[in-house]
Amino acid sequence: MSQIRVLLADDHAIFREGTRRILGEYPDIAVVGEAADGEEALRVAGQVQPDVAIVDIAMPRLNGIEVTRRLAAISPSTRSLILTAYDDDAYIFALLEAGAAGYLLKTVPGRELAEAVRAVHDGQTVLHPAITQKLVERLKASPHAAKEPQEPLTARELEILKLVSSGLSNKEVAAKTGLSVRTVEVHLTHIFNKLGVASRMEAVLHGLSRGWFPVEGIRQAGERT
Amino acid sequence: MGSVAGISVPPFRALLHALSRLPARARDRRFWFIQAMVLGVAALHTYTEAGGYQEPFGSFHHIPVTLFLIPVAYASLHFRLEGGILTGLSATILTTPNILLWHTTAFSFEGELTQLAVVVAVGSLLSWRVEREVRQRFKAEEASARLQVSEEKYQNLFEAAGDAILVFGAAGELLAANAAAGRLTGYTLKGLTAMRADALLQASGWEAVQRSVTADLPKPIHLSLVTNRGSQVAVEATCALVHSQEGPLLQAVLRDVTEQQRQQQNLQSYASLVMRAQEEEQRRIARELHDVPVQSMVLICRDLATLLQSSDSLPDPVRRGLAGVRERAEETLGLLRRFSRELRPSVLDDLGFGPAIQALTEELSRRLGFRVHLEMSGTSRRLAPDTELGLFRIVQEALRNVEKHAGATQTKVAVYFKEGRAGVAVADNGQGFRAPARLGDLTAEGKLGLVGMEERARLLSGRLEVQSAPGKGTQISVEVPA
Repeated sequence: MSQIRVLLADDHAIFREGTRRILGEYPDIAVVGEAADGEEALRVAGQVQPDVAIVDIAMPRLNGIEVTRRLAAISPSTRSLILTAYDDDAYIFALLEAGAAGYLLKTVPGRELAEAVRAVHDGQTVLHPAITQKLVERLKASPHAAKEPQEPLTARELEILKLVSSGLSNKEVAAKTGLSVRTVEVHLTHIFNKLGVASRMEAVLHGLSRGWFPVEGIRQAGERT
Repeated sequence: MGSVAGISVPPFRALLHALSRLPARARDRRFWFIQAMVLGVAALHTYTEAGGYQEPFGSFHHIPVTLFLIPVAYASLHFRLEGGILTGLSATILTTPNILLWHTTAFSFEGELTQLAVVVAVGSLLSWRVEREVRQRFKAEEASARLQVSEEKYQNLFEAAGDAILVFGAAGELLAANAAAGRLTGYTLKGLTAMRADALLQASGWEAVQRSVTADLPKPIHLSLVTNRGSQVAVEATCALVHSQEGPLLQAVLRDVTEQQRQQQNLQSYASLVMRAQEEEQRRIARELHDVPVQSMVLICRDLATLLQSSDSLPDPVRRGLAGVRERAEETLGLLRRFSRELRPSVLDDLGFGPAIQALTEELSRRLGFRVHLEMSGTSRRLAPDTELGLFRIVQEALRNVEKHAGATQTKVAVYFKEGRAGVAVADNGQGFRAPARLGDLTAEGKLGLVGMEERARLLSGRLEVQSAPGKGTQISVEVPA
C-alpha cells in the first residue's frame, strides 16, 4: 500500500517536530518535506509534489492563504489542510476560495490529525467542529451568503450532495448510489455550477446554510468512519 | 489779631474779599453792568411817573418799561437762559411798586403789565435760543476733541503695533503700512507704499482678502506673503473694511504664523511617530505571544488530547483530572489568542479592512448579546496598510466606547468603498454625551479615546465627525482618501 506523502509548513520548529513524531506513528503517512515559511513551502512543494500539504496560516513572507492559492499551479495534485492556532472564522471564506480542503485547529489530538490527512487525501473536506458551528451561524446571518440557486437541484443531485457532506469520497458515493464514479463527478460539476461554487466544501456549506441537511450530518474532524 | 482785624483792613479790600466769595457769575463785570442798567431803567420809570401822569414827558411816558429789553437781551446773550429769565424777573419786581402806586386805572395797569410780559417773553425766548446754540457748539467742540484723541491713539497703535498693518485702497494700491509691516516684508515703508496688493499677497491672496471682508462674519484667513527676498511667509490676516472720506479702504492686520505652523507640523509628525511606535510595539508583542506562549499552550493542549485519546489503561480519576487540565489549558489558550488578536488582528494584515471589521462586529455581537449590524457598500478592496490600520483602530475604539459607556441596544457599523475614498460610520442608540463644539476640547474633558480617533483620522488626511447629544445616541464617521 502506498504511503500518503505529506509536506509540513509551519514557522515553529518545535511544532513541526511534534507533528512529524505524531504522524510517524501511522505507517500509511510519510512526512516528505518541511518548510519554515510560505515561500519555502511553495519551493519544497514544487520539488516533492506532496499528496497533502499541512499549512499554517500565520507564516513569515507568505501567509497560508497565499500558499494554498499558489499551490494549485505549483503542485496541482496537492490538497491543502490548514492547521492553525487561531479559530478566526474570518479566514474560512478566503481559504475556501483559495482551495483549501480542510481547516483544523492545532490542538486536535494526534489520531484526529492523521484521520484528517487521510480524509483530505481521499478527496473529502474536513472542518474543525468549532469552526463548522461558527461558519453556519455566520452563513445564516449573512443576507447574501446563500441565495436560492437559479436552477433547483434535482433529487439525485441533492442526494449526492448529502452523501458528500457526510464525508464520503466520490468512490464511496458511487458505491452507495450504484452509479459510476464518472457519473458522480458529472453530477458534482452540475451541483457546483448551479450553486455558483468552486469546491466541495463550499457546496456543502451552501447546503447547510439553506438547511438542506443538518450540521450534525457533515463529516467533522475526529469522527470515525 | 482778633478784634482789631475789622479796623486794620481797609474797606475796599473787605469788599473785594466779599466779591471773591460770590459765585463766579457775580464776579463778571457785565453782571454788575446789567444790574446797573436794570436799576437805571427802573429809576427812570419812577422819575417820569412819580406823582402820577406828568404832561412834560409826553409820549415818552410809555417808553421806560420797554427799555428793560436792553439789559434783558444783554443778559440773555452773556448769561444764557439763566441771565435772560432772572433779569426779566428782577425788572418785573422793581417795577411792581410803580405800577401799584401810579397805574390805578384798569387801562394803564393792563398796559404796564403787557409791556412787562413782552419783556419777560422776549428775554425767555432769546435766552433759550442762546442757551441751545451754546450747548450745541460745546458738544461739537467736545466731539471734535475726542476724534482728535482717537485719531492720535490709532496712529500710535498703528505705529507701535507688533502685528503688521497694511491699508489698501479699493483698487489694491497700498496706502499705508506700519513699522511691523516693514520688518515682516523686508521692504522700507517708502518701498512698501509704492507696491500693489497682488505683488505683496499674490493675486489669489488679494482676492481672498476682498472675499473675507464681504463675508458676514470676517474670520482670519491664511495668506502667503512675498518678502523682498522673494521668499514666502505664512501669515494669518484679519481684514476689515474701513470707510473713509476717500472711499472704502481695506485694512489687513497680518501675523506671522510660520513658526506656529512649523511647531504644529512638528507636533503632528511627533504624534504620528508615537502612534507608529505604539503600533509597532503592539505588533511585536502580539507576534511574541503567538510565537512563544500560544505555541506552547497549543502543544500542551494537543499532548493532553492525544494522551486522553490513546491510553485506555488510565484509571478513571486520572482521566477525569487530565480532562479538567485540558479544559483549563484550552481556556488559557483562548485568552491568549484573544489578547494577541486585540493587540494586532492578523486578519487585518492577511485579509484586509473589510474582513477584519466583519470579524470585529461578530465578536462584539457575541459579547453584547445583540447583533451589531454591518453594512458594506461598494467593492471591498485592500487599502494602503496605514489606512487599513487607522480606519480599523477608529472603528475598534468607537465599538469599545459603545461596549463600555453607551448602554446601547442597537449598533450599526457602515463601511463604504468609493472611487479614491473609503469611509466608516459607527452609530448607536445609547445614552450619548454632550459633544463639544471643538474636538480639541475633548482633551480637557478626558475623552482621550475620541482625541486619538481624531488624530488617526487627521493622519490619514480625513476628518472625524462626532454627532451626539445626551439621550440621542452617538454617531461617529470618518472618510479618508484611499
